[in-house]
Amino acid sequence: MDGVANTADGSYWINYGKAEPGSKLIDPPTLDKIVAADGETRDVPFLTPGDLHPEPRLIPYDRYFDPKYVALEVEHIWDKEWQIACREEDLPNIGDRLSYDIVNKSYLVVRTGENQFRAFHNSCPHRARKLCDHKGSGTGIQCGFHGWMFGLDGKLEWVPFEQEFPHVTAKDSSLKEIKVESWGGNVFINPDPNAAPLKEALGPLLSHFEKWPQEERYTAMRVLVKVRCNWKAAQEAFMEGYHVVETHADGMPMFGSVATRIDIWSEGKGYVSRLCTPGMTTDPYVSHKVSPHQGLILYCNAQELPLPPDDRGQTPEDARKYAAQAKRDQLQKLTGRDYSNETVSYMIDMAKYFMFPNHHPWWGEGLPWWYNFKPLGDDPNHSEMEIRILLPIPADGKRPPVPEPIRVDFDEKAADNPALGATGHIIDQDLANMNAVQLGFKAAPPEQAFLTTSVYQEAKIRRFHEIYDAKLGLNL
Amino acid sequence: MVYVPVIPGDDAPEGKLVPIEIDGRAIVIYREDGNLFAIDDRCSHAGARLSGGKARNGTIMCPLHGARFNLATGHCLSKVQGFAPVAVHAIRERDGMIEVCLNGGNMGAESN
Ligand code: FES
Ligand code: FES
Ligand SMILES: [Fe+2]
Repeated sequence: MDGVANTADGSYWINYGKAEPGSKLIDPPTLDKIVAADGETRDVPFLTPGDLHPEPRLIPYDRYFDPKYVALEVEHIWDKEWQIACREEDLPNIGDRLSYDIVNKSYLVVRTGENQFRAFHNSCPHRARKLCDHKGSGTGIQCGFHGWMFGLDGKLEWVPFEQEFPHVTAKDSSLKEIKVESWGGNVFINPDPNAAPLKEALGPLLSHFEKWPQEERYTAMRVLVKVRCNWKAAQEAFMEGYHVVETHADGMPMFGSVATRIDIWSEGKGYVSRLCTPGMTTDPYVSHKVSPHQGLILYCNAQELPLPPDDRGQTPEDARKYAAQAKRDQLQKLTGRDYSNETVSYMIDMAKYFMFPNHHPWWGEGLPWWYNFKPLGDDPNHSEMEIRILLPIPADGKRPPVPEPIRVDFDEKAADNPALGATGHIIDQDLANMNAVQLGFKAAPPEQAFLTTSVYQEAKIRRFHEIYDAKLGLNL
Repeated sequence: MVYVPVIPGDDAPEGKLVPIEIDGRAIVIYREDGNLFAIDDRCSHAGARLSGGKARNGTIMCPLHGARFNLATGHCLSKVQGFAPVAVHAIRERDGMIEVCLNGGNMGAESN
């Protein structure tokens, strides 16, 4: 077959190039049509289309690099909004704690009961030392400087050489607590004492994940990547499927990115949106060069599924069917759970939700990932992307231990880390743009120093900035 | 100051941005809550066609970078950026035809 090759390491690849410059898509497929062709009753979340359609909006580049926005974001976002400090499984035992750092603030998050977590300002009331540097465990919280001791409830319990501090009382010098709530196995914190309950921010996530609870998933892999660009720009690269054509061109035989469906909901606080890209669907930009069967072989290679026999995947519908069944079998073997009632779409399509300000949970088994983005320190040019692969907990209910995070430093390649495998390749493709985007923000001529966003595929980005402008009180 | 008939009123239904040309000048017509507006079809920021954007509540939004303009006065509502106003024109409906009187100057706000 033309352009089909077995690479040196034995994996199967097709060199079909990229979308041809100048080519136009006429009447591209839609996710709805592709899913309808599966001939199944749709999964619940598909039945609730978004009701918000963000309008054109001025989004100036300066917010991506001007330090004045870092301070505004702390005041109006990081001090005010629900944000994920960790997953519950990061703190498996009572007394386990970690430090959640955001810009120049830090919070100590500790498990205090089987299903209870607390969080405190991570600063000793004596002379300020951070109480938890990174992570730790114990029956109390003791400061590493002069040994002041606090209970897991934050109450001051012991001051060495007590008579030196007749003026110190537990009432005044205990740890200052902030709000904590859990959803989906994620521990959210909110430093704002007047914050509305988390469920308002979660909006439609509550119902959409109800049948597929993320509490029943565990972190199978965790990657922390330092990125040389602003946290907003970093996550915006994951808020559209439009970049697949160029950035992940080699994924086009198996991801129908142009058929991506976008939904944005007003429910709750209007913080939640979703993109859904069909998996095992050949992008129309390359479908004249790659048959469904070839696309299916690539898909199975990438997902470590058994390769299809010659007669499977001869039509796009059958390619999806084969991929979904292979995935059901794979997961059933891995977890002992039963996937026979899950739809093709649930098994292979890639639905990524977004919750303001920075959480990106994926729904379904197509790409069971989880992202979080945050600024790294107070430099607007640096951020950290956290990636987790969340797999279903085995049917016996035993949670595998959380692996140590894999750290990818500035300018390192994720693919160079053998533990990351194919995941590293995708991460590298995305991150290759990031620093160049950050530099481009500063290089733009003044009249073009604004995002140009597409009508539909990039609407989620506009929605983010609608909320951002309102929070920061920017009147543009 | 002459009114020129441009299109039948039925061609500018409520809520639709209708691009037209008068003497080679691109104008966009918009009808909202029974009021008619005529504004240059060229964003004062970087020149994009406003007719490809959106209009609502007496404002029009440029599709390219999202600047907003008051349809009646042409003033830019994106205060921080302070883009120049877009010229607006007098418009009326007579005997089923929409008529536009081109604003000779350029400042929308001064024409009404
Ligand atoms: S700073 Fe914590 S005990 Fe002194
Ligand atoms: S051209 Fe209209 S906002 Fe830039
Ligand atoms: Fe990507």
